[in-house]
Amino acid sequence: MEKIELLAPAGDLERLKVNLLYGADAIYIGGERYGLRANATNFSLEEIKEGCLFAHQLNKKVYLTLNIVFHNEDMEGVFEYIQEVVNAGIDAFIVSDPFLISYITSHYPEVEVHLSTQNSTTNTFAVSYFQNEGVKRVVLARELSRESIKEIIEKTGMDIEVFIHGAMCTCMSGRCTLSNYVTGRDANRGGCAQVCRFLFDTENGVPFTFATKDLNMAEYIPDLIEIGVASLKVEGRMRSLYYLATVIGTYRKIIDEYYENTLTEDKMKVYQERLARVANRETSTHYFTKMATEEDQYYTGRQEISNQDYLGLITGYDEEHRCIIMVERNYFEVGDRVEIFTPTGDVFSKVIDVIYDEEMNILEVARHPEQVLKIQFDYEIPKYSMMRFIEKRK
Amino acid sequence: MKSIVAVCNDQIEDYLAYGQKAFLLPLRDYSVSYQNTYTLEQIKIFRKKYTDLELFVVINKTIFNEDLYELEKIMDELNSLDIQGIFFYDLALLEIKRRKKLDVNLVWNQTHMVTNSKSCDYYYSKGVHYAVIAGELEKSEILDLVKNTKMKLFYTLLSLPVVAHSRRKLITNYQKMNELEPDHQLLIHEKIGNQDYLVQEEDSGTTFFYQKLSNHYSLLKELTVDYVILNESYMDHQLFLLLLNYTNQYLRNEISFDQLLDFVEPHLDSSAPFLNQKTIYRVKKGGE
Repeated sequence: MEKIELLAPAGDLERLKVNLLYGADAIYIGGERYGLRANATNFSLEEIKEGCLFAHQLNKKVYLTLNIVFHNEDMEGVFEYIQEVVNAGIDAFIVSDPFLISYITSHYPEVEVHLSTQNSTTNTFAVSYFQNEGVKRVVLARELSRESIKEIIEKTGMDIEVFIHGAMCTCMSGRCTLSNYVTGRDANRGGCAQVCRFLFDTENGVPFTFATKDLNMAEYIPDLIEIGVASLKVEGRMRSLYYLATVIGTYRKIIDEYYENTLTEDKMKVYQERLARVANRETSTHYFTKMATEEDQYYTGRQEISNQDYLGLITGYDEEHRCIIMVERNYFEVGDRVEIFTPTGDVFSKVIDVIYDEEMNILEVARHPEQVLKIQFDYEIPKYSMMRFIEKRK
Repeated sequence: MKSIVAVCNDQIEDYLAYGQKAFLLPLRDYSVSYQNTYTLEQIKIFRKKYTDLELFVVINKTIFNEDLYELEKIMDELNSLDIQGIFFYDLALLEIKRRKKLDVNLVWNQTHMVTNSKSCDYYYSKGVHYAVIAGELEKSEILDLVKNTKMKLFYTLLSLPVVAHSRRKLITNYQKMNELEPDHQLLIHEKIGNQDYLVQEEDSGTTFFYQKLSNHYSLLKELTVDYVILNESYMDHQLFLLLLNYTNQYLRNEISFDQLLDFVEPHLDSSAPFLNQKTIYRVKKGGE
């Protein structure tokens, strides 16, 4: 059985590298044009090239989103752009426009085309249609049940990608222009303003909101592997390094332990707790086992939790003083219990006994985000490891 | 150019009295965002009774695997019926046409996605010879699309614009959570833009409509599409007939363009979203 792919989002090169180091098999990114996250940082051609090189050295892949709903004016320059991105080493394009699907499959047969979820593909026949058009993979709509996904795979043999974690749209992808009407920003060309998270007045006086909870499919990863899904996709090109490292690292563990037959209920509980620590909204599994209901939505407006667990990014090791070097992100102090987690999945628990600044002056508290700090630790920790908060000093 | 009407009233004679010759019939259980739908049997009767009318059938719901068996049978039946075409959203319909080598015309009607001429021509090469232009294009974009495609085109001239569609039962969910009386319709108000939206729930999901009648008449003089759509859903029947009458008079060259505008514009939304202003999508340049 071919191992399932873990596909991670990256808004910039650093996120791309962190995701790959934390266990993603492939990364999807947006270029400076034609992607559905116009508000994300996105990649220049040089950065795409560097990202592809980095990924390929690890025997991993990079996919580029080209999934806006194109207007005539957007077609200007797109052929040249596709050529440049192919030259940069991209492994696949994620596309929604049928003309561009046809163009890429006929001009660049060596590069895969993945049908974007923007097309809201929900059935076997629609998958077959695109299969005949040379599409290598379909990113299914998020509105499908386990049985539907399984049937599509069984009847088409197509590589199927499904979302497993992150924010959910309330409406069908491609069928929502709320942002266009309310804010003048084109949702289908990367300008979505998340109007589905707004509160609306009603005549009965009870505000109407239709925001959804986020998606968390951790408990169903074994099911998704067993029904033959090819790729598990995490949402969130604009998410923080800490979020991505935690989510990708956790799913890596779940997937690997499933294949090694070592995934237990107790371990899953730990992984769910880990995912919950970086979540800023409640989560659900939406349509996977039942029709989505009121339990999968929010009715009290925005309830997003600010997360200050992320204490810092490990950037090196000071051999002389036997200290890890880190860049601070959030407040912590001597006596706090923390965890240091690494890209390879190791987790070290520690009580902060002493904090130094860059010049080895002793600090009682770390209170300046971006300050370089040193924390005593007996051995070297890999670069891109991170430190998270566990418990206040007693 | 002809007008085609999505009707909301079973009194078809009302429309015929104004010279209406083309109709859009949403198929019950397979169409969304229309106030009135018709069973296949009703469509057959309609066809038999009015042999000289142009009839297009709408199948625009999201198709799931459990729908496919029935959908194939429906497509077979529609193929043998003398209709002018099927408005489709889901690519399953094109796949069924391909597999079964059906002759029935398909009309590419992916509501917000018919936005460029190259994709129109792509579907043309696949045997789809009609498309419905998206409602979110700016005037110059529409004219450019029309000029550069082989497709025969439809453009929605008059409707409550469809803004969004969800598979979720959003009104039911909201009412359950707030212990409100069940209903399938809700008027909501967005405070920042001071806009109203009509929310309508059906078995297959929930649709959001912009609660102002689209005003695309100013484009009509320059537009060279084959059909303009007038969709009566959630409109006042008498007002609709009045606007239909003026539109048909203009299309038959019985009144001038200026006279048409004088008649219709007082009844329509003066803001005409999108027609005179492109939507922003590049919010922030990459890297900044």
